[in-house]
Amino acid sequence: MLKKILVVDNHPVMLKLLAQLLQKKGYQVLTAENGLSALDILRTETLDAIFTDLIMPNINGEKLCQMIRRIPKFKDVILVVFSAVAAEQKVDVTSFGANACIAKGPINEMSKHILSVLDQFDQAPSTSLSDRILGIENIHPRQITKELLSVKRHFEVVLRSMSEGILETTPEGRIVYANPAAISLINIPEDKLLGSNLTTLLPKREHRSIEDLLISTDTQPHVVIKDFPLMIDGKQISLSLSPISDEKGKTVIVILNDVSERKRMEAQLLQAQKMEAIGTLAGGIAHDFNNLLMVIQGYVSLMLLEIASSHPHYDMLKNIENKVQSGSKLTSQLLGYARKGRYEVRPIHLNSLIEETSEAFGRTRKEITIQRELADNLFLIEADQGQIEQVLMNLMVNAADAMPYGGDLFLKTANATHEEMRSKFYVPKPGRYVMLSVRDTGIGMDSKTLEHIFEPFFTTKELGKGTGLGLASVYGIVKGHDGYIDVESRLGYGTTFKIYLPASDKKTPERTKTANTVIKGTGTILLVDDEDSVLDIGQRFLKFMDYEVLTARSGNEAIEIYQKYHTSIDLVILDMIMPRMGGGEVFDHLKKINPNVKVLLSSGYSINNEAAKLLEKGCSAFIQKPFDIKQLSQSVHDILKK
Amino acid sequence: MNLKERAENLEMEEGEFVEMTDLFVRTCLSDLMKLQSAIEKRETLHVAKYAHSIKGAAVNLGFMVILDAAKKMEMDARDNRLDDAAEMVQKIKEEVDLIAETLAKYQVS
Repeated sequence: MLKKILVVDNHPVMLKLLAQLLQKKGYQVLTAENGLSALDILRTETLDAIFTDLIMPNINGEKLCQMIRRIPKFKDVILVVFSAVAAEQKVDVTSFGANACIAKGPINEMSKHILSVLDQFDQAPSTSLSDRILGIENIHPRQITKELLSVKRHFEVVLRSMSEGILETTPEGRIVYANPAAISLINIPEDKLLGSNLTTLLPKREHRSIEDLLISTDTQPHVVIKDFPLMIDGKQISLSLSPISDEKGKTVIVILNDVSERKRMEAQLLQAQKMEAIGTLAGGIAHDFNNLLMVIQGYVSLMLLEIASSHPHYDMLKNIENKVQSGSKLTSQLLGYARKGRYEVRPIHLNSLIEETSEAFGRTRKEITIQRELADNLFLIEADQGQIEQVLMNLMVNAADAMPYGGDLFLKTANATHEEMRSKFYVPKPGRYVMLSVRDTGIGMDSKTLEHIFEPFFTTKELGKGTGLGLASVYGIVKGHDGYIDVESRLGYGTTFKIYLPASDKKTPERTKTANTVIKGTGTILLVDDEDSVLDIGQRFLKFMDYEVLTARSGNEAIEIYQKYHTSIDLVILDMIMPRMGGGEVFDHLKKINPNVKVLLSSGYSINNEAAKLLEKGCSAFIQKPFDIKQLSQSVHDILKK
Repeated sequence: MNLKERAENLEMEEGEFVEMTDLFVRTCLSDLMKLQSAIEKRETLHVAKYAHSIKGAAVNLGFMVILDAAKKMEMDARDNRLDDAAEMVQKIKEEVDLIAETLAKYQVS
C-alpha cells in the first residue's frame, strides 16, 4: 500500500481537490505550490509518489521531474504529470523522467485516472503507463497551443545559446532557472544549482553585499557590479541584477559574465605601464649613475695600475672597484626587470656561457656542487650576452641562498619545441626553443611565496641581504627576449626554474673574451664624450695602452676633428647620449666622411635599443659604462685587429 | 444553480464541493482583479496567464460558462487580441457572482 504522496500545483483549488481526494483514500498527502517548495520537501521527506503540474512559476514541472529523478532516493518514485498542454501535444513525459501524464479536466474524471494509476503501481511497481495519456479523450488539440509551445521552445533555444550566464532567482536569492552558460560558469550540476541560494556560490565575504543587492533590486530598476568581479569557481565573474515583475510578484534576473580574460588583459596593461615607468626611471638613473660610476671606476683602475698589491691602499681600492660593480649591477637589474637594457643582441651559444658563468660562480660558493648536463648540438639563441649572464647569475645566487649549508645545483640545457612547453600559464609561440633548467636541492618555497617571486622588491631574504630585484629582472629579461619561464618548488625539496628562449637560425658567433690584463696597442683614437671627467678617464686609459688620443666634447666637435684627421684616426669611441647631437647622428656624419669608419659605442644606457640599431647600421662594437681599463683594452684591441 | 446536483456530477460530497467552490470563488475574484489590471495595461502575456489559471480551476469543478470565457480570453490574448477581453471578464464576473450568491444562500440555509 502506498503511503506518502506529494502534490505540486500552483493553483490552490487543484491542490486542495487532490489533497482531499487522496487523503480520503488513505494516503498521507503533502502539498507544494511551486517547484521551489517541492524541492524543500524533497530534501527532508521520503515519498512514494509525486503528482506535479507542468506549467508553474519558478521551476516548471519538466525541470522538477528531471531534478527528482537525479535524487537517488527518488529514482523509483512514481512520478505523474498533470497537464492539458502535454496531453494535447502528446509530449513524451518519460523523456524527463515521469511515469505517466494525466490531462487536466473535470475532477471526477481526473480522480478516476489518478486512482487507477496509483492502483496499478501499487499492484505492480514496475508498470509503465508512458504509452498513453490518461484523460486525452476530453482534450481537443488547438493550433494556438502548438504555436505557443513553438515560441516557448524558440526562447529556450535563445537562452541556451547565449554566451552570458543567465540565472533567475527569487527575491530571496533562490535560483529557479539557469541557462547552460551559467551552469558551465558556476560549474555546479543543474539539479544542485536549482533551489540553492545565489549567495552560497560566492565567497563568504560577498554574502552580505549580494543580499543587500537583492534587497535593493526591490527599489532600484537595475544594479550592475562590473568593476568588482566576484570569484566563482576560480573565474572572475561580473554580475548584473535586474528585477522583473510578473503576476506572482518579483523575480531577479542575474546575468553572469566571465571577465577573467578582460581582467587578465587589464592587469597585463597595468603591468606594462608599470614596467614602462620603471624602465624610464631606471633608464634615467642608469645613464647618469653609470657615468658617475665610470669616473670612480676609472680613477680606481688607474690607481690600481700604479700601485703594487702590497700597498696599504690596494685592498681598499679593490673594495671600491667591487662596490662600483655592485652599483652598476643594481641599474642592470632594474633595466632587466623593465625589459630594457638589451644593447647587443647577437647569436650566443648558451652552453659556453653557462660553463663560464657557473665556473666563476662555483669559485665564490665552494659549499655548492654544480652539476652540468648540457645538451650536444644545442640551438643558438639571439640575446644580449650581458643580460643572459645576469639571468644565470641571479638564478645561481638564488639557488645557493636556498642551500645555506651547501647542496647540489643542477644546470641543464636541451633543445625544445613549443609543443613540449606545456604550462597552464602561457601559450608559447610556435617554434624551436632552447631550454635552460636551474634546479637546487634547497629549502624550497611555499605556494604563497611562489605567487610573488617575480614581483620587484619582493624578497624573503633578511633586510639588507637582497634587493628583491634578482628574480624580477630574470623574468623581465626572459620576457624581453620573447622567452618563457616556469618555476616549480616544494618546501623542503628544492626549486626548479625552467627558461625557454627562442632558438636562432644564425651562424655560430665569435666569442667575446674579457682580458685579464691590459692589452696595449698602437694607433690614433678619437674619444667623444660630453662629460669632462669621463673624457679625462678615457684619455688616461688609452694613453696607458699606448694609443695616441684626440678628444671631442660634443658631436659637432667630433665631426670637425674627424673631417680634418680621418685618414690618421683608427677608431672613434663614441658616447651615445650627448646634448644637441647624440651618438647616432654623429655616427651618420662620420660614415659620410669615411664609410669604413670604426666606431666603438659607449654608454651608460641606450634608449629604445638604439645601441642595437647602430650596431646593425655598422658600428663595430658596444661597451657598457662603467668599464675598467682591461675591458676597454679588450674591446679596442678586438676592433683594431679586424 | 444547484450545488447538490453539481457535486453529484463530479462524484463529490456536497459539503466538499461547497468548500472547493468557495475556494474557487475567492481565488477567481483575486485573479479577476489582476486580469482587469493586466487588460488596462494591455499586458497580453499576463492576461493569458490569469485566464489560464481561472480556466484550469473552472474545468476541475465543471463551471463551463467560466471555462469557455476564460478559454476564449486566453486564446485571444495569446494572439495579442484583447478586443473581447473586457466582455469575457464581465461574463466570468457575473457567473462568479452567481456562484457566490448561491453559496451564500446555501450557507444560510
